[in-house]
Amino acid sequence: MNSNPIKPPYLRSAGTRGLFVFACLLLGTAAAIGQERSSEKASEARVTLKTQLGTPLVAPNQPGKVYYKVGLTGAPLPPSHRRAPVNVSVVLDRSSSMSGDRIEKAREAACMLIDQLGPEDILSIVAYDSVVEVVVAAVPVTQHAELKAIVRGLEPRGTTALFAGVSRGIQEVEKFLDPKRVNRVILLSDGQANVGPRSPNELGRLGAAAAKRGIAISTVGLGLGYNEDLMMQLAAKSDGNHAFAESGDELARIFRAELGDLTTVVAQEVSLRIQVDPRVTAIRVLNRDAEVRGHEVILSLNQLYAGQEKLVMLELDVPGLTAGSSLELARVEASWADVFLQVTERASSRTELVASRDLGEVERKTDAEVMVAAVEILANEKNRQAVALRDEGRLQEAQQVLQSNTGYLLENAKKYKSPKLKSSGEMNEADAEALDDANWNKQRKTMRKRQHELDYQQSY
Amino acid sequence: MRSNLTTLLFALVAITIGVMVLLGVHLSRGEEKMVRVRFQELAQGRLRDLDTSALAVMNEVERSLLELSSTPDRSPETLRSWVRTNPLVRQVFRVDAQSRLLHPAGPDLSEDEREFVQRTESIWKQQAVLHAPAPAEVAGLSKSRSRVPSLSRGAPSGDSLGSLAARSAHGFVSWYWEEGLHLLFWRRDEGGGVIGVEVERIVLLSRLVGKLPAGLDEEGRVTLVDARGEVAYQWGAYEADESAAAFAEQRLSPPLDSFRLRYIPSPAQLAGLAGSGLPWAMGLSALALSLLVLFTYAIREQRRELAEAEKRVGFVTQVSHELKTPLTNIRLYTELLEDALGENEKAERHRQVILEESERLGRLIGNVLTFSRRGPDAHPLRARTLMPDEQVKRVAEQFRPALSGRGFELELDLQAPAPLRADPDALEQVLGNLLSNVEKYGAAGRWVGIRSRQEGGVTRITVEDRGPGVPAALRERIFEPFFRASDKLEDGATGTGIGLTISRELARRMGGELLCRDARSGGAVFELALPSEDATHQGERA
Repeated sequence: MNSNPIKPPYLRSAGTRGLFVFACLLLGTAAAIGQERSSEKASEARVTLKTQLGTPLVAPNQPGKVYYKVGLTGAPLPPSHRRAPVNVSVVLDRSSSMSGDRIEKAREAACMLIDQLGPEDILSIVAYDSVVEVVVAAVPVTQHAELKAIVRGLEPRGTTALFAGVSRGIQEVEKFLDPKRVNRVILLSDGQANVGPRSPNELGRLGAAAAKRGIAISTVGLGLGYNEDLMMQLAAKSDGNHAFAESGDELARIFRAELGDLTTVVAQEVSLRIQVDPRVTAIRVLNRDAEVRGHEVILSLNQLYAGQEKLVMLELDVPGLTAGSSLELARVEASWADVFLQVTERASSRTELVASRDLGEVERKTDAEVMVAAVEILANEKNRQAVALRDEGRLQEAQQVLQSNTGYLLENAKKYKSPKLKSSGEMNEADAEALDDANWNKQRKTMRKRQHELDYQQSY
Repeated sequence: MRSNLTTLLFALVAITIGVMVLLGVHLSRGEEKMVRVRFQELAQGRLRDLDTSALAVMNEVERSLLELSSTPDRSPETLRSWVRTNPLVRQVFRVDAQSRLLHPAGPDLSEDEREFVQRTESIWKQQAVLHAPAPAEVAGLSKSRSRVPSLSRGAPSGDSLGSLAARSAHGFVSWYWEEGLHLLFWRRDEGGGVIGVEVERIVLLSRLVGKLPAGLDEEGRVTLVDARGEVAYQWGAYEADESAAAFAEQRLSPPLDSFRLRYIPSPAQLAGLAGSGLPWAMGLSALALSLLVLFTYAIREQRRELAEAEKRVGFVTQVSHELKTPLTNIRLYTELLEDALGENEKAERHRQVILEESERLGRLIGNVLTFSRRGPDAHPLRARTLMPDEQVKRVAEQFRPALSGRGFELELDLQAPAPLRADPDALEQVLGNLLSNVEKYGAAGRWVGIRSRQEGGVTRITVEDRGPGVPAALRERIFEPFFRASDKLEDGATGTGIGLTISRELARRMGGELLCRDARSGGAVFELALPSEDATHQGERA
């Protein structure tokens, strides 16, 4: 029924010409989606839960997939706010490949970070090469000059014991683990981990375990020698950020952005439980790791930031509905710890799906914002697939995937009048042209970074 | 001759030093070995302490898992919340007494749960024979997707989880799956079921890393090696090669026994062990040096003494030479005195004594001079043709008065009529020495016989006495310089000890030989053999 091989399946129920023909035969009414908040302190809440269906109205008797977006947005902080204190471990690669400009710039970036911290904050600095060294054990940041002197004394040597470095970083953060602080490990590496566990999978599991304790690991890859899969897994599984700095010059900017992120955290220990109607199946969460168990989806986020939305995109399989009927598609319960008030807050939301005979209305009610996000995330998945194909040496297939991805993105950009999708499409087009060996290392790192940024709504 | 001696001495010193060096090296090697063993013991002890730290991590893990699983609530929701919130928990299963899986069960499993059920199936289905794997087995299995569970705490091999649970309330079981060791904490449930918690391996390792020392805390290198032989964690200042040999190795206590700790000493540490050989080398060098000094001193001292002795000999020779002139005069005037004394018997007897004694003194001086000019400096002999018997007779007549004065009977049996070529003075000196010896040592026999024979071109002159004779063992040694068969003064014998030496030398220089023979009478027999004139000529011609 669909000639475009990568056309997302949801288009079967929303927006193809075939469906228009079919929809013309139907009559229907639409019911609005409902959302309510159960939080008692609704007016003060720093986090807003918003659930949206890409297609709140569907054509009757048309089983298929729908896209369901769950968004959590931190309220902007008032100008006079005091940021939450942070508990940061900076884990620096000091292997011999860091010699020269790189270690210099890394030291500068770390010193810049120290300057931004105060006595409320906890800092530890771990340096690793063949062996790991806790150069500054977790301490409140009062002696700025001394700390900076220690950082400036770091000289490169040896190989890359990344696992030990991260392990020690986590251990230092755990010493002052406190829900009222923002707990984070910032890992900087320019090389392949070559001492200790080094598979992306193993490091990913370490990240996931850190996330269970509320510790996010942000990873910064420097140069073209690091393992982006490993660094990304570590960030993704712990809900941290991932950045790619081609040269040391970018480190200061990245550290500043990371610190900006850290200091705008409004909520932590965020968990989401989404229960769908027994007739509906939760197929998967497109952009994050989650426990997907038939009619229930459980996932957690490490933190929410002021003025920024973190979203979870679900793919649901819905049954055919008779015209005019509705079903309570999903119930969402969210809970988070407010870092300022030190209380756990909750919010819940219900979403209904209604079958309408009025296909025009089905079309009109389609939520462009959700659809744009869904298209972007689906295209992101294809982008990842292209990298996998390229890794296998199937260059042409990878190129084809990216080209059709471009078509898909541009088509939807037009449809939803989204400049974001347009630029995304253009980026995919550029990706398709940059798969040759000469550029591949850098290209792959750039793509991986972008993929992570998109899935996790990274602010920088 | 002297340079030979020096060489010999140096060789001796060299050999001595060599032997001592070998001995020293051997000893110091032994000591090095001992130090090495002690160091190894130390390293081993250190690794054992580290194992205790690892065990502490394990105990902590065990305690927290026991605490976690102590709630009676076994609802899937609770079990899943463990997975969600506890970093140590990767997944959880629960089986009843009949090994039926109670959790995770049902149609709605997450992907992780489905994988977990598959990965642990053989364990909860009681099919797995739990045993401790041998290292080789582990290495072979870790590569492939295999499921050989192994039990590593306190149970004999060949057990299933159910039989383990029948014996104790909780424990650990490890098995290999894909990337390596997986650890399962199990606890007996009410009603005979078992709850199994898969420990997050990477978190366990991360905690181990946190508990073990870090950085440059060690002079050598300590590595934590996993079952595949890969370094999971390391510390210490020494940047060891991956193939570097470990000094000490310690397997961690179960259930972490797939990990080993290895101690690799730095080259500086190794050099420190070998360094104990330095005092040995220094001691040896000092000894060798002092030996050399000592020997050099000895050689110089000996040379100095030799030079002094030469001077003395020179002096004696000079003096002896100077004595010859007055002695000749004494003898001349004594002989002249014979006519002047006339029939005065007493005076004649006195004159005879003076004559004998001056002759004896002459022989003595002759011997001293001959002896002092031995070797290449010797006066050349002047060989003349002479009649041996005449020569013998003349010497015998010279001695006759002295001999008869001492009660000797002199018997001559001379049958060597043919002439021979010899230095008459030398022949006289030899015969004089032989007779002088008879006079000195053979007095007890009161008889001396001189025979001469010629046969086969050899003239043999024998001087025989009936004194105590020369023991067979000494018959060659008496020809050595300054050798005296008896040093006892009470024997009454006197002499310089060079008479026989120079006599034999003179005999040999004349192409003959002087030997001491066995005498039938029991006394001493000296035989002088000289080539006859013809034979000498023949010999010279040849």
